[in-house]
Amino acid sequence: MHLFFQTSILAVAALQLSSCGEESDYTQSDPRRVTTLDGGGKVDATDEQRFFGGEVKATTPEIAAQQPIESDFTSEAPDGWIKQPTTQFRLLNYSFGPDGEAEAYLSLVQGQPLDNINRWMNQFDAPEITVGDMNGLPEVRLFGNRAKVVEARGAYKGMGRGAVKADWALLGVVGVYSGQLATVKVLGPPDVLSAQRAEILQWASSIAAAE
Amino acid sequence: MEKPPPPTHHPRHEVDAPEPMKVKGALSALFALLSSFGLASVLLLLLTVLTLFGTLEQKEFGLFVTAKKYFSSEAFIVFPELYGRKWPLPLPGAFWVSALLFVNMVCGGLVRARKGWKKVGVLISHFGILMMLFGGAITHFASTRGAVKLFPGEESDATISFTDYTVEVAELADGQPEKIYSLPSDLFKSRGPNDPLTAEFSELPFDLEIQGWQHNAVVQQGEGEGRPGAGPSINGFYLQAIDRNEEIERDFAGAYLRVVTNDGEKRQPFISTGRDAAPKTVKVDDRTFSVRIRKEIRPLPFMVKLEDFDYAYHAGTLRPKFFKSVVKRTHPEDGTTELATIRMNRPMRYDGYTFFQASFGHLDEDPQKEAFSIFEVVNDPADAWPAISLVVVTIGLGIHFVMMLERYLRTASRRLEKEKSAKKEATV
Repeated sequence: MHLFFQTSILAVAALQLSSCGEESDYTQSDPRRVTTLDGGGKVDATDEQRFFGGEVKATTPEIAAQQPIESDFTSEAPDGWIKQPTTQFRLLNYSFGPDGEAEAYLSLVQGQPLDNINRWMNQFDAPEITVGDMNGLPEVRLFGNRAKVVEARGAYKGMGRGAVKADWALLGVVGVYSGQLATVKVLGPPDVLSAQRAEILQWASSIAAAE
Repeated sequence: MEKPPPPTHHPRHEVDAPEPMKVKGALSALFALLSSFGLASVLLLLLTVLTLFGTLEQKEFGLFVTAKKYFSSEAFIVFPELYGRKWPLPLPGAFWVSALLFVNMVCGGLVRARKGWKKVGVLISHFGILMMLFGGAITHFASTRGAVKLFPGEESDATISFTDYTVEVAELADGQPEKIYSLPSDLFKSRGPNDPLTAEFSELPFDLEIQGWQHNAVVQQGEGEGRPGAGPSINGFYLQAIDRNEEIERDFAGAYLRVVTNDGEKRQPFISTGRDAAPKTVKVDDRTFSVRIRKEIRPLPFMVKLEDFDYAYHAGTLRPKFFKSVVKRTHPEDGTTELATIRMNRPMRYDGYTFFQASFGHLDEDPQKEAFSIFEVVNDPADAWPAISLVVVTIGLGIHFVMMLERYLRTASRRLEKEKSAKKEATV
């Protein structure tokens, strides 16, 4: 029996060892079927196009300074914020924080302020607020008008299907501009946002249409 | 009279038993423990507690993370985390509890259990439970999961994996893929940055060298040398490893790839990641190829088209009340079609695939814009096993019940007979 145990242990150890390490060579012979999910993709794309869809994501203020980014809006961003390319839904776009994880952007959308605030609340699984709650929210100026300051913290689920940031924070401003809902959404690690809360709200108040 | 000396008491462990006897004793004790009813009770209780905590926690952290935390084979000890705090309650992972229960059922429910015609029902039901546990293991190791996202009117004949990355080479004709060679995602599941791989393609004029594999990475501009987790710079870009997300479906794999043509020419390496907007184009011998790292695409044996999608929010909120999809299946061989409705708790099961109505969303995340439906598609070789095992357990318990009933009736009738004859004798 003792011999049996020893042999078993050795056999298990040998099996474990043989399963360690990764294959270093592999031969693929059969192609798979081309499906509806197989688009061609851009041929001869440059590295910039492959990695950043044609626009280079700035990782340092120096790189950002080399690539002037067009926007219909201006603002006075706090020190250390990096201007990022604008998109259809990010009319001003910044990243900041030690790892550049925090993001701040301006959007103009259709809809009601309360619906938009509650959409943000849903992204954090936070309880929805009422008109009364909204009226009691702190205010700042956005485009010269009174705007509500919204804050939330928790698991953020607004990054696409199933994606969650476990501990994330929101500091948002909701107001109106030119008949549209103007939203400033700032997302990032809670400590980064709380450290820059005053600067963020000051930045939101500095946003203006470009001359 | 002189008292005899008291017998010397030797504790058990001091008895000098021969070596084989000790081993035999230890083995018997181990078998007795593994086959005990007490162990079965504890394990079943643990599974109940784990399922309860898992169900409550998945509401907070999502199904994928929670299922991985409680039920994966990597989970040995778990601590429940509910209502914003971690409970100091260490629990064994459900996978290992189930594995131990399987051993317990084999030892106690089959090997040690009394056998014979009288126990056939119990043995059948034990076999059913074993089948259920074994089916769970097959599902755990052999099933594949992917997603299909469809706007109304859109169709798909493939799923895309949530988590498994692969390297794909496509031969292009007029910019469109003609033949696609996809390396098995299993090659990359445990690969690290120091595990290079050379992939040969028997029908292609080149091999592909894959180095510096990262499970989650981002491309950065500049010089990466010297930075922790950074790879070498190529044309001013480098691959930066970043921490894996708790939800690993949010990870973007990346690596350095190099084409080595069949005549030995080593091309310049290039970076590819799962988040690239376009593949790398490679030209060899007047043939054009695209090379990319992407989540694995798995073809379906039929086409699915979203015919209709219906959803509603709770009044005054953006919280979904219900959503359902009407899909049309088309078989490529004969072109026959069938309609099926998929609801939140009513999946479509067909041809080994189960389509669950997972979620839905809107274009640009704007609720005013067009909605799309998302299905989670599971291909599970043991899909039917739970149902079959439940039938087996029911049959076993049914047989046992009938046999016990028959025994009871027989005893009762015998007792009645005895009482009758006793009464008769008393009357006489």
